Amino acid sequence: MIVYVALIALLFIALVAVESQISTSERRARAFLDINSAAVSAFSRFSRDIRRASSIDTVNSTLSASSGKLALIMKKSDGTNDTTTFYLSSGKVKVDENGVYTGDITQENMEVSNLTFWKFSMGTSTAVRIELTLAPDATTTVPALNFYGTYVLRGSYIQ
Amino acid sequence: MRLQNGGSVLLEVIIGAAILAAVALSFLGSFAVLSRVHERNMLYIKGDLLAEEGIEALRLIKGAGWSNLLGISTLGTRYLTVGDSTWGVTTTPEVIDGSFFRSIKVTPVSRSATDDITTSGGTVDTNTLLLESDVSWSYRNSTSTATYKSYVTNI
Repeated sequence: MIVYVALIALLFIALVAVESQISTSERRARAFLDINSAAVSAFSRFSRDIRRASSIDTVNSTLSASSGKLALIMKKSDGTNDTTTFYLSSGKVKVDENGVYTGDITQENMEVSNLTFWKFSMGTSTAVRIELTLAPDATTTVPALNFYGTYVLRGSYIQ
Repeated sequence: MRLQNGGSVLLEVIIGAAILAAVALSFLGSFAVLSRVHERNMLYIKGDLLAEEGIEALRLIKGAGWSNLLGISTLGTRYLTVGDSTWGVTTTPEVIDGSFFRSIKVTPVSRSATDDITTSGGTVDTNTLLLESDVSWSYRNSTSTATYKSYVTNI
């Protein structure tokens, strides 16, 4: 009887320990997946819009700061301009188009702790460098990771 | 008879525990593998973005004058250096966040008699260059690389 109870107790303890490990692994896997999704969706959008842009509205941008804001000017074929603005607010990367909020490009469960934009100019070319720091929610042991990208404004230079 | 029943229950417990342990460990193993796959992918995404950034940095340098690119086209492997508002090229290896190593190469391009790009023979086209950006990093004792290549022309 004692052996039986001891075995059951050991089994129970082992199951709890394994379940805890499974839960930790599952949260880590999900956290990495969330970081991947956020990085891909953010940089896909950054690269597409920055390359389309003809100039940077430096007055309405916050450059070289960790709570960055980037206002891009896109020249249209009819001569008028569209503006797209990326900015960090409440830990999310948000997008405004022509001054109207259109949504977030990072997921709800992802914390963006740093979004820095730098304007680079060399001769006829202008580029934007981005540093994005992504951190999953606090229940995982996954550390924050920096992602970087530089994109030349194709509308800014003569090819 | 009582002893036989007791042994039978014990055996059932051991077999049950073994089955449960096998199932639990297979779940644990699956999630651990899944976690490593996603972590590896995360590093690939970062490495890929850095490699793409290398090409864009060279495109920006081109904006300051074709001669800037032409000047480094005979130097072999070089490295990027980033300032507050410019990219530059240096002989000092570039390490990003302590674990990603990036190098760049600008090489002359040759064309055949029909003006097609050729890798053997041909005539060097001084108005076309091949840009290459390589990024490498280590994960669990294995090294991964991401490479981007792009032609640029002096137009």
